[in-house]
Amino acid sequence: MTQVLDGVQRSTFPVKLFITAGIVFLIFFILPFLVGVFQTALISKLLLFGALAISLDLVWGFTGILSFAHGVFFTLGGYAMAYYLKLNLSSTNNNYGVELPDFMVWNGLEQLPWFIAPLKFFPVAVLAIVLVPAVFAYIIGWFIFRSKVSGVYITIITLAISSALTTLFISQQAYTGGTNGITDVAILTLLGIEITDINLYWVILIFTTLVLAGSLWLTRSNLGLILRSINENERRISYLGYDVASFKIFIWTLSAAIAGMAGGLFVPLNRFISPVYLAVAFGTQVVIWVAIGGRGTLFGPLIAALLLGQVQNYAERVTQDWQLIVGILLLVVVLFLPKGLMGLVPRINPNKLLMPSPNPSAGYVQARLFDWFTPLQGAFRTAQEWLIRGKRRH
Amino acid sequence: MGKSPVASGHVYYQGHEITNRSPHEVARLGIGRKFQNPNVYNELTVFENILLALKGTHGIFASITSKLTRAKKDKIAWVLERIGLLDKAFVKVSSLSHGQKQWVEIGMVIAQDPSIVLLDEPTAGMTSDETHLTGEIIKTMSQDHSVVVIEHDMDFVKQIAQRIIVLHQGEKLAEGSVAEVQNNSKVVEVYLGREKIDIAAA
Amino acid sequence: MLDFGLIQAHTLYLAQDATATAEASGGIDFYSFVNQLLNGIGIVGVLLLTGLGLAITFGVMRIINLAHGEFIMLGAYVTFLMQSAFQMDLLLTIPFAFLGTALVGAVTELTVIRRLYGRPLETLLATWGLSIVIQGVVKLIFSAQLKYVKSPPYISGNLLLMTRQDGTPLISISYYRLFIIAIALLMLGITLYLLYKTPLGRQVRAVAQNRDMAKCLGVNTSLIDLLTFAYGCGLAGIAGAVISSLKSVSPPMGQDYLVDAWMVVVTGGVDKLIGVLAGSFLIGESNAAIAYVLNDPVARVIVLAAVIVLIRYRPEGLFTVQKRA
Repeated sequence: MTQVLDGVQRSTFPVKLFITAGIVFLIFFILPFLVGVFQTALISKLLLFGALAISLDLVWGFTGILSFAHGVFFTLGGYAMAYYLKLNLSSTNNNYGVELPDFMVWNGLEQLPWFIAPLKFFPVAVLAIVLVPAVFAYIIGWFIFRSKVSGVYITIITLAISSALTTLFISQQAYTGGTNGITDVAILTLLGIEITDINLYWVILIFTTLVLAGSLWLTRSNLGLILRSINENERRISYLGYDVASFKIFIWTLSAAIAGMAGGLFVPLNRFISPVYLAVAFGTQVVIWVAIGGRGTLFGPLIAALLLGQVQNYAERVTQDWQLIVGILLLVVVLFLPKGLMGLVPRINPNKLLMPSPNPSAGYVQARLFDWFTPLQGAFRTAQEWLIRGKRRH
Repeated sequence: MGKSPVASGHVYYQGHEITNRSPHEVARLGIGRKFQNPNVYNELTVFENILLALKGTHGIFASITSKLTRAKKDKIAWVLERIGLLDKAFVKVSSLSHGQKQWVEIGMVIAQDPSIVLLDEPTAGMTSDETHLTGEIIKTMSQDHSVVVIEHDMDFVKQIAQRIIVLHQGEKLAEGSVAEVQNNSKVVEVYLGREKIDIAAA
Repeated sequence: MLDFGLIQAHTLYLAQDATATAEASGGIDFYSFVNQLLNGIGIVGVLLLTGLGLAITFGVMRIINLAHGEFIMLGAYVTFLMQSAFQMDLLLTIPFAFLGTALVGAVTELTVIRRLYGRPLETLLATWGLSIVIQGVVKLIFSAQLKYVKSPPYISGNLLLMTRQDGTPLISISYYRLFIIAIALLMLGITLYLLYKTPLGRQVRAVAQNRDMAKCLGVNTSLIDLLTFAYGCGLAGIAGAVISSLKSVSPPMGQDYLVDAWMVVVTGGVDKLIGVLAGSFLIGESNAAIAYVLNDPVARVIVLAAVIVLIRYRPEGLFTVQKRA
């Protein structure tokens, strides 16, 4: 009787997908030689934003927790890195020839605060980049997910958190550099070698690739199935013996850690960090990338971050109203494209390729015929058919 | 036991107090529950619904590392065969009929492998054919598990029940076999008085 | 490179003016503390005004409206427009602010909200998008420049409650704060009357409680939705008109009020409209008191943290009757 289920395998090795992914990775890898310094820096930044968007997709797209606080986790990681770089300015570069960062001198601090001092050491800083956002998220998560607080209220709490931390960081000038944040940081040096922009780009590319691959792997495991079930009906799954709160706390904390790492890599690139990235506006940007890219698709948010960043770069040369365009885009997506841009991709085989799915029956589900609504879908279809043709023979 | 707080009294199961314990703890003690309306994952396939209910992947790390083993596939196939949905294994639940969804949920309860099964009106909204099939599923289930069914439909109760407890206004009114209960004067009185009765069959 | 046009210029509007007075009188003493609490009344008025509209759209209709701040901003711009075009008195502009924002609100309901009933997270996102769009459009029309609105001369100055022997004020409250709280209470009263004493209000409450049943009973639910949402937005417009002269008028100004308005509604609970009054009183006065002892930003952070803790333990708000699950 079990023959019916014999086709079920977690996945057959998707050769063509790997080849495609490899080619895309290689193109990105040599990109700095093809585009200028400016584009390299821009793409580095957008890749980090993409990783940030993927981290939000894990909690929002898969688990259904809409958070405006992911900018906060990103920025906390960023501050950890910024303190490290600031404290490691050589004394000639330091404005006052003293150990103390300039903004602390301006604000009358005479000694390095005890909670900032350890960040001078690289291992501590690396730990802080991951742990500060993760622990902060864990506390929030433990606090809100083990209660009857639900959906919308959680989102409002994340708004409040973002708003409160922005206020706090702006007001504690002596410790945080206030509105300006931490500026004029040192260039990141590893093992005595200064990390150039192009090296940084590769580090970031590898980081984002790992984040994407790791997230794909996670969401295709049983965990992904459980997260999607929590999204659809968390009560039912608790009657199956799953502790919903601990799953939520886990993915929430993990996601914050990823966001923090992205923030940590962002500072050596951006050369400063400020409360701008704590504010609700930046948190909204992250939400927009995920909404436009397509929730629960992982690829979508990354692509959206890359594309929107590029479009913005050019749009801002001709118009000052980029935000207006983003707002309209968000409205259109919510109203007409609930699945985001990835929703335009036809669902020939929803359990593979572009729609990562935790479906363990991935190798089994056969392609079905669909009506093609738009020419765009047709184009995607051709590309996708090529991609999966090899796989269907299995 | 999780859905509404217990107002008074205590609930014990196999020596553990389960009053006001969280639903997942109750489930892990071996109590499988199904409520009146189909409560299944419409966006997932039948296969995935059953897979979720399987024992053994309740921890976070277990869920990440667990593999879809031969044993699991066999178990799922076995469950699907019992509920008669083997051919629908990879169909999204949202495309199933109301009755089939109820079966998926019964399948989920079976897959949990609980020591006791609580079913609240498992045939709600079913056609008479479907109701009869459900009765057969439950009868098979009761060979391996203790099954408690809450039901008003007397024909259905007759089909499946070995022991019946009649409840009235929260009090036990009568207990016994189908014949005993049917001939119980108190039951007849309340029944003919058209008051709501809940009948628990085991 | 990225310009987050929405970044709040100053999120710390709440207790700013209030502590200024406290510091001027020097040190912590009884009178300055009383002054601080009286100034807190002004904050309570602002919170009540801004929270009231939200209590309608969220409390009665369960719509998560993140564009609420923008409706406040629109109200302020209507006042600015009427004042600069017709030299109109601020008080007289209030009806126009109400009508103008209610109209925009109605259009919003018809084009956006209506499509998303029953999908709270989608509504939240859409209204957030809308808030960005409204800000962008206003920026296009009026530029990002700060605009200033004149408050009427007859409500400037302070009401002296106690004076020193030499005639300098000891305890006082500005007429403008009194004016704000008076308008806020008036609007609360009108809203309560409309909701509980008129047939229309009864229909609104019926729709809020059981939409399908109300429909069966012949209530035109889509009209009720439209009117209720527009009214909530109109209230936000009044708030905008009244507070426009407190500070400058600018496209991102609404953002400052959004989070606080939400905190008020969440604190008070949405079961009863009167909860908004309690919520604004609690938040406004505790903010003023903490700001007196510590400072403004810290007060704001503490109050926000307290509200988060509150949501955790009583998501239905402080002033609601506990319902059975």
